[in-house]
Amino acid sequence: MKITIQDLTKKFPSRNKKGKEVVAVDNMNIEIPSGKLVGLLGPSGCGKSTSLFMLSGLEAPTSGKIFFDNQDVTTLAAERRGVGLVFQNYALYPHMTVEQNIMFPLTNMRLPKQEAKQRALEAAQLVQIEDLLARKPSELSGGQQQRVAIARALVKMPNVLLLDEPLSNLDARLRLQTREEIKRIQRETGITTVFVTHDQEEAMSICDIMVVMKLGVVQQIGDPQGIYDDPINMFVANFLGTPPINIFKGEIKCGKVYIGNEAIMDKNVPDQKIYVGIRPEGFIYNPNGVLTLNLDHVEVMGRDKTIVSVHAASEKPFIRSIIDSDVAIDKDATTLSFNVKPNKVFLFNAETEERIR
Amino acid sequence: MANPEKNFFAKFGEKCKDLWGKFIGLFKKSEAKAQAAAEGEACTEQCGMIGTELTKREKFSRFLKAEQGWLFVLPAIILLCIFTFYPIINAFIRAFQQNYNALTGNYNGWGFENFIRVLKGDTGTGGAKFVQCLVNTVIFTFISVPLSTLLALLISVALNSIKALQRAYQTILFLPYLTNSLAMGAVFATFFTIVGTKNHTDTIGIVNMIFFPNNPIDWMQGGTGYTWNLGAVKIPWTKYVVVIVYEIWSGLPFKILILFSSLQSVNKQYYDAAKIDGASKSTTLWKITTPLIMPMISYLIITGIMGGMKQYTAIVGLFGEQMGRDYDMGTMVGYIYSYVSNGQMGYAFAGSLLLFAIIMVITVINLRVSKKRVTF
Amino acid sequence: MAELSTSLTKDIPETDFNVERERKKQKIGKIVKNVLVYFFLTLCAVLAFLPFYWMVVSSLITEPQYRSPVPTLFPDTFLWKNYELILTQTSTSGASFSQVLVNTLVVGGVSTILGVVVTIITAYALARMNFHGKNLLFTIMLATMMIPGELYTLTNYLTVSDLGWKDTYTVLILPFLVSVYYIYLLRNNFMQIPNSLYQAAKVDGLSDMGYLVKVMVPLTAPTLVSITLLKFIGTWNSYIWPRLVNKSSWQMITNWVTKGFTDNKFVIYDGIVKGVRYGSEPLTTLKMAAVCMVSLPLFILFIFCRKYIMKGVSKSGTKG
Repeated sequence: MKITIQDLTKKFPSRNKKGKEVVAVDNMNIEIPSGKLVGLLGPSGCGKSTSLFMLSGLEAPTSGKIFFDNQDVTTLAAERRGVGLVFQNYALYPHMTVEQNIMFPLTNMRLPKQEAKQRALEAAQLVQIEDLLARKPSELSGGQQQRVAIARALVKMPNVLLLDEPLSNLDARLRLQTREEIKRIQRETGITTVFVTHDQEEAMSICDIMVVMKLGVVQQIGDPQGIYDDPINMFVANFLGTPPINIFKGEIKCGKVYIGNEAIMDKNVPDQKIYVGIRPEGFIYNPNGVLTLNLDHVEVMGRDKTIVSVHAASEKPFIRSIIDSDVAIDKDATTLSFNVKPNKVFLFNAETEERIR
Repeated sequence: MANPEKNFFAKFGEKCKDLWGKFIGLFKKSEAKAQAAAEGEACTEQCGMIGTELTKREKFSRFLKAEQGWLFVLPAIILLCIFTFYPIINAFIRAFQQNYNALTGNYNGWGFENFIRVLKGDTGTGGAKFVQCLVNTVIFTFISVPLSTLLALLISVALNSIKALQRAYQTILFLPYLTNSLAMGAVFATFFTIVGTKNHTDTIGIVNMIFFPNNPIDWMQGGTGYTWNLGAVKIPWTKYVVVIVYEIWSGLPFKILILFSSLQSVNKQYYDAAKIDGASKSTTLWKITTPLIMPMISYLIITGIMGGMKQYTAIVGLFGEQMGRDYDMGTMVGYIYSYVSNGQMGYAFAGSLLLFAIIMVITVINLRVSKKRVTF
Repeated sequence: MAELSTSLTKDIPETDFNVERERKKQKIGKIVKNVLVYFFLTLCAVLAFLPFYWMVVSSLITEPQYRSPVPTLFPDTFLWKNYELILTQTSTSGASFSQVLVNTLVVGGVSTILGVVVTIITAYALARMNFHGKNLLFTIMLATMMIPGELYTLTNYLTVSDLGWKDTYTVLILPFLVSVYYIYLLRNNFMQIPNSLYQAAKVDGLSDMGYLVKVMVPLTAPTLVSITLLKFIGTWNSYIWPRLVNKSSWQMITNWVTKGFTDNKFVIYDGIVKGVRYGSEPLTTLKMAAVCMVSLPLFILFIFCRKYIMKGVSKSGTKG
């Protein structure tokens, strides 16, 4: 099912009476093609969960419209939208067994009991919990509960599957495993899926389409690699990537990009103050390089090594550059020089923080 | 509000066990202490007089200090001993004395005669009949408690689902919360009473005016045609209706209060999940809400039954101190007092022990059930 | 696995998701639900309130009005004489309102104050002090809570008769002064106060008694207020015990209200109406006036102290 979001806005009344209302989602416009896995990404409080709840129908928008396959569902209540939602803490009914939990949406559709049982079993098999059907949620681990929640959301073949921070309550190892699982289930069922996360790695790894949000405003929409390679502003560039991008204060003078008094590359735009963002993998070690950094220490990771250094113009305390482990580095040197890969360097206006192309 | 641990009786059972364990432990500990003291090592650290022998006087003052808690509880203990502990023991003794005379203190022999006579109903004239009172109490309780709990559940859910005027409805529905059951019993009696002389009826009561204007029923009197006979037991059902209506009315506010607050403490996410799962309002009520607050509901039912077994004043308010005609509306407690007023204390003691036994049985059943119930 | 999932996807026909139809259902459902819910609640609210309204109205009309075939629900004039009568005259049992009111206030006041003081010191000892046999004592006290009060009321009746306490205030105050339940409630409340506070107070040079009065009592004030209110309400509503041990002039206000009220001096109802000489028989309107007098204070108390009363009662599961 295709989802179209048009000028969607959600304002919450302020807590104290005279204060201003809070804009949780501001004028959101997205078109989600059928059968895609979409990630809403942003730091906490950016309105991503609110957007998801508006899609589910649990939260009513202040203005704007939501369409499922060109049908306006904006005023339709949650129970009539035919969506599946996996809650952040799963919200499994504690008094029902796993099977009863999964069957619950089907019994509400008045499906015959035998058929409902059969389909609940299939859904359980899909998420590989068919052995746990007789248990109560309190007898399950976090990961198992999460699978039950997914099965419950999937079993009625929803128009849209929504997941609210589906991995945040799992431990690191389970998180990796489960995100692959979500991807697999989504592929197999072909249900348009929207999930919310604050973890960029998670979003990057499984999304077809990624939506980056900040303070209720959509910053950029696109495929993960595209956004990573071509961020629209400094926030997006900063938010994506581990280790995060390095930011320097810089300047454009006479068509050259300066960090401190070193010109690192050419850029044919008017003179101005800028921020220079360089991805960690955008450094090339070269004794005669254009940028000189003061070495702090070297972290050897096996496959590659991370050089941690400092620089007067850096916006962050440390600069991290990743280079091949084969490249020999003098660990006792006080300064190191680098060349930069132009496609890994992004320039931003110092005031608007918008990208300078 | 809404957690199973609120169930006082379940908690009480555990508490007793716990305390018993502690009590045993305490003895062991004090024994150990005494032993250590004998070896001359104990306590010295606590009072900071390292290495000095304690004089008798010091020992005594230390004893006073350690046991001064008894001084604090003394007033309560004296009163409890006279008016609670001794009476309980006394009740067990007197109930087994035959023909106990309260004035002279005389009795002739021991045995179960009081109990046998009470259960047989062979207790002379002027007092209530035990089986009649037991049947009355059980029927009043087991009809009115489930009905008022169900009604309270529906009202609480309705109250919880509205936004406009919620406070107003809440206030009105809580109003009967604090009432004097004798006074309100008298008010309810006027709803059902036909007032007038033999020849002339003045008013047929508001209930008859609404439901039976042409053929008014004399609810408060019952009489032939409005009484079923089950052997020796009479069921004057019109009077039963009056009692049950009153009990539902007076039981509602407390139940609404408890259920409403436990509904408000249910995690809203379950309702959201039910919406997503396409559950209708009634499915949500019966399959989600009710099971989630089941601990509270069963708590209400149990306390309701306990209270129901001890009801008395409401019936007096409705039917007067004679509890209807010859105690035909008598309750268990009414039974006991009917033999206080006519001086046959032996039957009163036996009746009170039987009431105690019934309440113990209910408590035990509750403990069993509540252990099973709280599984999630 | 792939096979299973295809069955999941393919068995179900493409959902015929029709927004218009769903929206219509939703609208109707919403209206029906609101109408039903508000109708139900209004009905219940009316029924909950009706007895109070009836009680007040019936106390403000004349007996012939009350007995007329058409019930008076909205009286056009208020007859305060019913109140005048019951407040000045003695009831059929011989107790006057002023007498039982004084009885109730004296007994209520003394037993509430004494009861709360005893409860506080007992609860404190059980919560904070260590003495041998404390736990045994507490266990026995808790165990008595399971025993119905009638069991000891009987012996108490004999005891006070032997002591010659009948027809005194003492007999109304002493036997039920100590409530194990309130001690239990307050002890639990005291236990919740962190021990570090006690140690801090000791360092500051506070004695046990000083700590109790200056720290614990203020901290548990809400519970104490609940206990005080419930204790007083309990006295106000007490009926069985006073009836058992005292004659009517020594009884309480609830005993007074159960008696019949007549106009035997024919102050209001003189002469014969419809063949009945009203004044000489118990009159419903007078009784309703008496019922109002007993209920009104509870009503006012409930409105002003709702929070505390509810808190105390919702814990105990019983009324005052």
